[in-house]
Amino acid sequence: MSGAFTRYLAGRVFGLLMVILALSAVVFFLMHQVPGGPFTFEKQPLPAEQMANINRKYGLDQPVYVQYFKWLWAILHFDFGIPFQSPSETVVSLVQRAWPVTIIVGVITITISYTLGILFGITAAVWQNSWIDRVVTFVATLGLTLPSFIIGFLLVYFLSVKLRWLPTGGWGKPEQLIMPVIAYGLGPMAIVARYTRASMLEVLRSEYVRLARARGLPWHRVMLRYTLRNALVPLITVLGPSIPDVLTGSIFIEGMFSIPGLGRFFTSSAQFRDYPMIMAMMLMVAVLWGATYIISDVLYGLADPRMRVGGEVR
Amino acid sequence: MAMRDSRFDRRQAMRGLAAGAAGLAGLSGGRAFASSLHQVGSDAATADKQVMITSWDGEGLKGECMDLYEGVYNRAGLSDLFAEPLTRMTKDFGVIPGTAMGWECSADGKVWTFHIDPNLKWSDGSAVTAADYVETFRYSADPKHAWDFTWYWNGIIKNYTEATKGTVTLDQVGVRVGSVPTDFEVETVDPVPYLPAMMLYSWPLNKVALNKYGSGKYNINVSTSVTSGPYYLAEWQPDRRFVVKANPKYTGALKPNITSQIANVVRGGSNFLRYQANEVDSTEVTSPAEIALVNADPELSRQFATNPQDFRTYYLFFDVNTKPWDNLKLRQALSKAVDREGIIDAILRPLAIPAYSWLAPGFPDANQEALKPIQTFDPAAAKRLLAEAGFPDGRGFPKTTLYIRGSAQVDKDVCQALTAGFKQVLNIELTLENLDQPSFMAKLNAKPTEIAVGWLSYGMDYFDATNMLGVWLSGGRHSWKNDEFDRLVKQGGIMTTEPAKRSEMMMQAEKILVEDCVGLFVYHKLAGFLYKPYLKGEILTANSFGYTGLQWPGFGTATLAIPQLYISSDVTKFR
Repeated sequence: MSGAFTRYLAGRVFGLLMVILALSAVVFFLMHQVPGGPFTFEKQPLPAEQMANINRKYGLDQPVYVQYFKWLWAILHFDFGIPFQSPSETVVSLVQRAWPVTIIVGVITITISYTLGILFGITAAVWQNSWIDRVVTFVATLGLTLPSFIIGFLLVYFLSVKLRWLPTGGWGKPEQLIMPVIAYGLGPMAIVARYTRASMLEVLRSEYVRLARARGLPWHRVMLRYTLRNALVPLITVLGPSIPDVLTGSIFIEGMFSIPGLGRFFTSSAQFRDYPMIMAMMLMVAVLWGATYIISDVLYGLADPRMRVGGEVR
Repeated sequence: MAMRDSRFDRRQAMRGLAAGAAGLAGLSGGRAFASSLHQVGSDAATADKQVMITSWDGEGLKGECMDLYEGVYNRAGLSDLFAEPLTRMTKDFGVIPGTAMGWECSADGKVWTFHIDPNLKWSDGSAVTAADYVETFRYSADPKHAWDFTWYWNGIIKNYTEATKGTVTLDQVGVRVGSVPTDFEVETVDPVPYLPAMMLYSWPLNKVALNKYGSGKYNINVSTSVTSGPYYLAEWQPDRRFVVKANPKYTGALKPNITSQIANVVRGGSNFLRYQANEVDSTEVTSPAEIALVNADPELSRQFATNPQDFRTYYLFFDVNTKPWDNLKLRQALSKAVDREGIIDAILRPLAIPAYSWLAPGFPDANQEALKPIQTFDPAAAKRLLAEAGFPDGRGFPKTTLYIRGSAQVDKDVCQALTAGFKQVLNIELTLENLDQPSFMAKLNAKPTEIAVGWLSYGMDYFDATNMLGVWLSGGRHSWKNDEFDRLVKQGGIMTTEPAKRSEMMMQAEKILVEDCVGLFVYHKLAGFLYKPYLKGEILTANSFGYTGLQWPGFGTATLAIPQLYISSDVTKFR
């Protein structure tokens, strides 16, 4: 690793930290401007002095800028506060409890959907316009057009209610993962299959592949060494950033299948004015997306020497 | 001089003729009453099959505690089973003894003494005493605790409001131990004839545990939980499930048939599908689509029950302090342009009955039939009133937004039907806008309110007209102010000796409310529930009002459901 690359990487990381700092200030002040608070109840308005008791208990009685700097100081000590949605634990313990569940679902979904998507894409491209290509295209179109919650509903209706093969949801048993992974993975699999197919077709038509075939190189060597490697390069930038989406969970999938993951907190935190969780979610998304883009750029440089600066990966 | 009566019926309990059903004739009478509560059929399944499984939808709920006095809005599934309230409610909405075997009230109507069953024990072996109740009520008023339901006792119990403000010490709150350790005394600010009904919400925490752990959270830990109720905590996983099991040390009146309860935590998804997949034993049916499926399926129809639960009324309200809504004729015009029957037929049936007034049929002092003509559907009268209000055929009517709280589909559907009706009958247009609950309530509670026209609902907390009518008192939820209404509700509310006159005052108050059209009452909700055929018991059959299923407040220690509901041997066909 040269000095140029180290400087480049340090610059990107520093930039990301600055973006996160600015973002945290904007989000913190904006969320306090939204009408209503975490303790706005549905019935009668609480008397002012009792609202004051609650606000004092949760530190909401101080000016917003004071709350922000206290929050900033606390997170530097890895203290993200108490989530109003689950005040019997800390934000850190909640994330430690819920995120692994989301990551397990996400990693299995990514692994299966990306693997199948690449295989289907390659198959469809190699046997272009065959029945295999048409089947792959049909399934991919289905995966792209049907929302995951519709797929989930259909799976539950047929596999749980009608056939009684699988539980409607829950967590802890392998069979409880089958329907969520199918519902969640069909979309990414379709995207991967479509991109792989298109990219493979482009490379297969290139002159260097035709030359390799003309020189009598074995088919499998042409495919693996010349075609596949080059076809997959664009996928890195296309698919890399979709990973944070999967790793932060889906409110629909987790809700529909009663998965105790992190996905629901992205909406419920805003809906219930759970300020500590909103900030924690914001930080998590910002770090994940920022890191993913940096890693994608580095990988892109590794795969394509033309993208390197000063002879190094960029 | 204390007032006493040996009988217990709803009217007496509601109207404050204070006395206990078991009376004060002796505690042995109480034990006999307790044993008579237990009912089980010969077709009951074996004890190991007496497991009830439900879903607890934690969406929007915090699931932080198991006790009302720790937090009302953050209770988890299967809460309030580790203690019992002083009073309970029958399925016919009558107030009967809970842990209090009887009670009496002082001659001035301000000091109540509840006589607690001396046989009750905590699972640590100690007796349930008035000291547990005293400590619990003081804890709820503690400003440091910041209980989320203090308004319930504000202005009711002496010095309660002041304690929450920190202007008096907690020991000055009007609750104390009486002449014997099992006598719990409550001193009120004014006479409160409906106090026994309010005591449905009186589950005590264990005094020793509360002081030892500093909060009621001791009941979310299996190793520290203490129970005097029919169940004990067996499992606490707020992201997975809650499990309670029958308390082998239980000495109270609610001996359970169901030996184990499991509440699976869900957030989203369809409980209807979970019910169809035999994963839960009962579920509430909420959406019109689900209702259509139930109606189309004879088997599901047989499992379906409806009842009013908290007697919730859905209504359109107006800020009468802003133009043009300060114009009574305009409000009257709108009230007569609503085809309630049509809306219910198209969207809500059988989960609603039309509302022409605030108090739902069956609720104390409800007077729907007499008040019905005031807001009844009458397009011709509506048009005439609109013209008299200065907007003939809708001309000159200002651009108006109708705000809806939340995003429930049924609220959107009903409000679209309402605005379509206004357009059709009156040729006026209202634009719909959904706000999430915190935003809506912040705008509603702003002074002055920022919502001129809105769509809301309200359900009771205790079974007395003052509870529902109190929503409309000056300084309450809405901007409307009517001195005569305030006088009737406040003066009538504290009447202890003339129940007929009290009832008349409540009816007069409601009439003022309906005539002033400050609320345009559209429907009273009926909750629909599905119960698997193996769930059985007298408690599920129709009550005297014709409502079926478990009545409010549901399967818990504030009703008689626990000793009456059981699982029949048919369960093996489903599980």
